[in-house]
Amino acid sequence: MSKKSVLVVVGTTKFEDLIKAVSEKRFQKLLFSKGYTHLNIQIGHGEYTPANSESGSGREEGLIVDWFRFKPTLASDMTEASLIISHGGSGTIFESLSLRKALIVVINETLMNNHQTELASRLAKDGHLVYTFSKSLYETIETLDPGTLKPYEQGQPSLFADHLDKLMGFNGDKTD
Amino acid sequence: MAAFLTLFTFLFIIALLCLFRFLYLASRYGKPSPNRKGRPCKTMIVVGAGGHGMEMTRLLSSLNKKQYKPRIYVVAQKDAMSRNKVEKLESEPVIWGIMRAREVGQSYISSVFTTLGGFFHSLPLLLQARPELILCNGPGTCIPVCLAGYLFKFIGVNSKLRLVYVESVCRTEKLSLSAILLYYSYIADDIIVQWPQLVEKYSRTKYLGRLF
Repeated sequence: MSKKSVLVVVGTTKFEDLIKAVSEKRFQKLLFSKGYTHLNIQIGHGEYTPANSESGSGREEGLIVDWFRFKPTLASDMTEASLIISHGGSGTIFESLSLRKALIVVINETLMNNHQTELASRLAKDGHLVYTFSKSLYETIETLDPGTLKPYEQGQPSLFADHLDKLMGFNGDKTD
Repeated sequence: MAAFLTLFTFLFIIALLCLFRFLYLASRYGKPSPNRKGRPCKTMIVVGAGGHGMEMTRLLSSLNKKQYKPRIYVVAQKDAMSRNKVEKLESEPVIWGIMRAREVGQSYISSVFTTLGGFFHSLPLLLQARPELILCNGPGTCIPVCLAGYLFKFIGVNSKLRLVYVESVCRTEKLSLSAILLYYSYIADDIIVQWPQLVEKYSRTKYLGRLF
């Protein structure tokens, strides 16, 4: 059976509800039934730790579960994943989309005035990702068809550079 | 009575001059600076925490580093992560720490005081550096820096300064508080937004297309 993994990302804060939701046996069984073989969880500063094994990895119904707090970069974990379940951080969102990964954004309801919701719901409206809450994550995965998500055409930061050059009086005369 | 009239006239003239100065600077909103014939531009970059810093890093990656130099970075004191980001970008960066304007969850009233603190803290830095460009993208940490920069621009100590604010990609429907302050006060020379529907609400902002 080829490796098909799910990556959970909570970023630099903690997101206990999400970690608990993905630690549920019912949820892990669902992932396995959907053909996923690995569940890789980044828990950040969270106090709740997913599996009770000391090594930070365990087996649940064939699904191999691993967790860690932080890594200098998640790039390889993200590249390897087939599905990314993430908090609303814009960095993770755009990195996932640029890697053309199926992405579920879970809104952290404990953060008040969370303007990151704006971005997730906008991109969800445009069909690039799905956004949900910890308590409905199970149903979201159950009904998710990654094939229906639209690829995100990456933007170009150079549009900004061109604009700034004009504003600052570098009238097209490049000095390199 | 005569003394009072003299004082009144004096204050009136000062106020009038300030008004004209303000209107003149506001009239330059979004207008290009004169051609600098390749002369590099001294740039101050305010790097905010979290996603803001990530966005700034992306924006900087596209700039021609030979044009925008020397570069001075400003981060909030104690914001080690932003400092780290800058150290990854530059081999020998100049980084200044200033007081943070608002902690997450801090009330708006008390943030007025911390912003004032940051403003007085920024004054000597801005007077010394006199950048031609301040580049910022929130959060509130950039406000005191912008205020101090604008003051020196206003009084003619650093007239050439342009202030460019790039709104976070997270803002799809409404400008952030920082952007609103800089927009309505005409302190910013240009405000870039990343979603076209924002231009409909705030007509002086600009949408350049997708940056991320």
